[in-house]
Amino acid sequence: MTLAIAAGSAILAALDLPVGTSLHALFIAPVSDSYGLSELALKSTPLLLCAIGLSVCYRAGIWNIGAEGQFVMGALAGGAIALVAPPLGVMTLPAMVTTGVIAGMGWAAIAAWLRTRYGASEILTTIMLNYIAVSLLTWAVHGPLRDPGGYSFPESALFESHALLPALTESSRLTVSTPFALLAVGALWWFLARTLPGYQIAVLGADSKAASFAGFSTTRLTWLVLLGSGAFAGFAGLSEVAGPVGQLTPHIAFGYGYTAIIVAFIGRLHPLGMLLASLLLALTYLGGENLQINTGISKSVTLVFQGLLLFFLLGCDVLIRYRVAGSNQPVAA
Amino acid sequence: MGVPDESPHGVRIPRLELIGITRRYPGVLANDGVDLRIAPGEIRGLLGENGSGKSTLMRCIYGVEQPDAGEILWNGRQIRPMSPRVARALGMAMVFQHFSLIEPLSVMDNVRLYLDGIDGFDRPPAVMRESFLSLAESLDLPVDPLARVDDLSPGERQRVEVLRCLLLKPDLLILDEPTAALTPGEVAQFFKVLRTIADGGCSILFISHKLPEVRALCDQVTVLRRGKVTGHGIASVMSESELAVLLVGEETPVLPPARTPVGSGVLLDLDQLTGATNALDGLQMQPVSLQVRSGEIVGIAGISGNGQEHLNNLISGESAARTGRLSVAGRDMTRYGPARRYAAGLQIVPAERTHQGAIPAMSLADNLLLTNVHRYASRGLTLDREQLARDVREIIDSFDVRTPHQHASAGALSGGNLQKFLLGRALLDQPRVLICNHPTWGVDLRAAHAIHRRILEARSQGAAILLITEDLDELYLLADRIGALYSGRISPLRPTRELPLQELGLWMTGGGEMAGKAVA
Repeated sequence: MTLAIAAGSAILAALDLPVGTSLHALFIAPVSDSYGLSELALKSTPLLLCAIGLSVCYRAGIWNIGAEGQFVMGALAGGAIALVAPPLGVMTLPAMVTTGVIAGMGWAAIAAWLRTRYGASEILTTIMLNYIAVSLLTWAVHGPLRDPGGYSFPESALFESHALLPALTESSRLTVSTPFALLAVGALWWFLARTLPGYQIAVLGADSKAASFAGFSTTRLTWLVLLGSGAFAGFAGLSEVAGPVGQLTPHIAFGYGYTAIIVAFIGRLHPLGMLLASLLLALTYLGGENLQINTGISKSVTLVFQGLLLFFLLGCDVLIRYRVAGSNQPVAA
Repeated sequence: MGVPDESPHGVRIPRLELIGITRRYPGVLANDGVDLRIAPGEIRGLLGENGSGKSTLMRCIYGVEQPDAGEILWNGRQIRPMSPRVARALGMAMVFQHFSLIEPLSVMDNVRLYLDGIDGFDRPPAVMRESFLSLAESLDLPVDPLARVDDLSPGERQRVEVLRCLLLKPDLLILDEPTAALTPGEVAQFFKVLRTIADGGCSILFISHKLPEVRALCDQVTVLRRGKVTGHGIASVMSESELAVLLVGEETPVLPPARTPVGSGVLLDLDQLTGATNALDGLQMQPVSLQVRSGEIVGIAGISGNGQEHLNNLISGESAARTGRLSVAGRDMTRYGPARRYAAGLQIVPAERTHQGAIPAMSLADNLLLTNVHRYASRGLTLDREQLARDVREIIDSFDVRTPHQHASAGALSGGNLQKFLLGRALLDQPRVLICNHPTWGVDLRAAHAIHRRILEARSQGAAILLITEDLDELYLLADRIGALYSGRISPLRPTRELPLQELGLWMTGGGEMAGKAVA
């Protein structure tokens, strides 16, 4: 963290920007009032939801990179219910949530099936499915789901109020998905420490030979973690469009699915760790926007800071676990 | 055996002569004053069990390791190969037991990598391929030089290994258990090729633990046991029983007092069982029929790599059954995986303590859980962590497991203590059937003694125990009936008191009862 800020400052300095003001705009200003804090919670919610699902995959040694796609599919399918399904009245929202979760699971299921049936690397399939999901969303908002009264902008109509998640307070944009994410943190802790599947996932991730000796089914566990991850990402996507965004646009995902990977690793795959990490990464989003408004620096600087964080985390891990050895041992000749 | 170690070709300078080669590892004398002479064009067999020092000796000759004492004479000149590169330059070549080919590369790429940097082999690819092909043809060993190694059968890979060695025109070819991965037909053809090579003047050192093969191929044979040469002689003259005695020793270990069987019911019953994947690393596993009764220890001897892992996995359920039937305590378990079998009363002390039997990074409680999910997961979901902690404490206390503290990870335990813990795990719930794989391998004497005592206790409490081990002393100490595994086939079981060590030695190496039956 310190290293990341130091390197970030160096970059800012190299760009001839006032380092102190910029850092203030990045990390302090966004959370200096209660509205800012609520925005922080709002941003961190989808990150945390996605990271929870991803962390379970990573604990099992399944490298799911597909939260982005699962997020988009949840948003798209759930949003489609709000836009085109026959009126369902009070059942609209439950139908949207269910559809969003199932769509996220379905998207992850493709990778699970390819992995368990054909041994296809889930890293590649989930990344490719991300692109397909985003393309589907783009097609939908340019075509069938475009707002007829929207002056040809690639956006859907705004959702009806009964298709929006209930707000938590009058003054903020927070919805019930934030307390749900906190609940999920507790549930994840319980799942990992106290349940059989949680234990089996840890065994599979630690040593597949031991898992096979114990008779745990790799196939079943692969399905379980990918479907679980898809469900969380799908719900996160749905709660974005049925929450702060309120419509489908081509840019709803905003890289949350990828940033959640960083959240999962900075949080050490630990429930509480990921809660803190999601706040930190959310701060980089808010700070980036703030910085752009205040100093005119592109908010791409957000991505730079996120990348620096992950880089230094992984780099320190390597240096802690391994000793740097010279290659000056005599080569036997 | 009194046969003087003179070349059959008369008095000539030996190609290779070893005088008093000694190599010490911490706690083990791997080679203890080994003498050996090999004449030009001779095929010499080197027999020995695992751990007898064969591989160490070869590594000393080939420059992988340096002997602590002794001399190596090469064509009469004293040498000390400091590396395989030096050994190769002198004219030695070695094919290791485990293939050293790079799988995603083509045959020719592998050949070129092997010869890279050696004088005289810096030739264009087309020329290299030409000489490779003409050598392959002259020996009648067809290989497609452009094929990728992953696509080749074990037999074909063997050919590539041998051919690339022969391109160097070596004076000595060392082969470490080269037939392990070959089918019987391939073995016969391979031997023909080796004789052709030897007729050309190249000496061959053939390491094996298969008596019939050594007798069929070699001129002379040298036997190693516990790091020492126990004898040598002319292979075709020595009988299999003579060789077996040199291999495993003369005296049958002292037998424990006769024990009366405790129960009578058959608790482990394998009936013509075969696995879904029956051919492993060139080993063709035969259908297994085996019964172990309550209160009985059945011992399976055998040199590792003859099907032990496969037998264990068939019983544990890690390998799915294809045909046949397996029951545990009278319940048909043929179609079930390991977890269900553990729940039915089967427990296993696996061959690999870490990376199979235990996960070093996890706590003892989590490792206890590994084979006891049925005991702690009520309704298959939540875990009873309190009960787990109590049981871990009980195992630590009653099995005298030395651990820093109760919450230590399994990796913090020494090998012997981890093994005691694993045995404690297996015995915690009074299993009906216990499979022990090499239970005292790499374990100090005190721990080994404690482990033996516990296994005998489990027997007297009525467990049916299958003991799979290479340790013959252990086998004679514990087992009520003994059989051997050789090339994927189990010999008949015989009461321990009616089975002299020599005969068991024969079974383990493919002689006696096992001769001619081992391969279908």
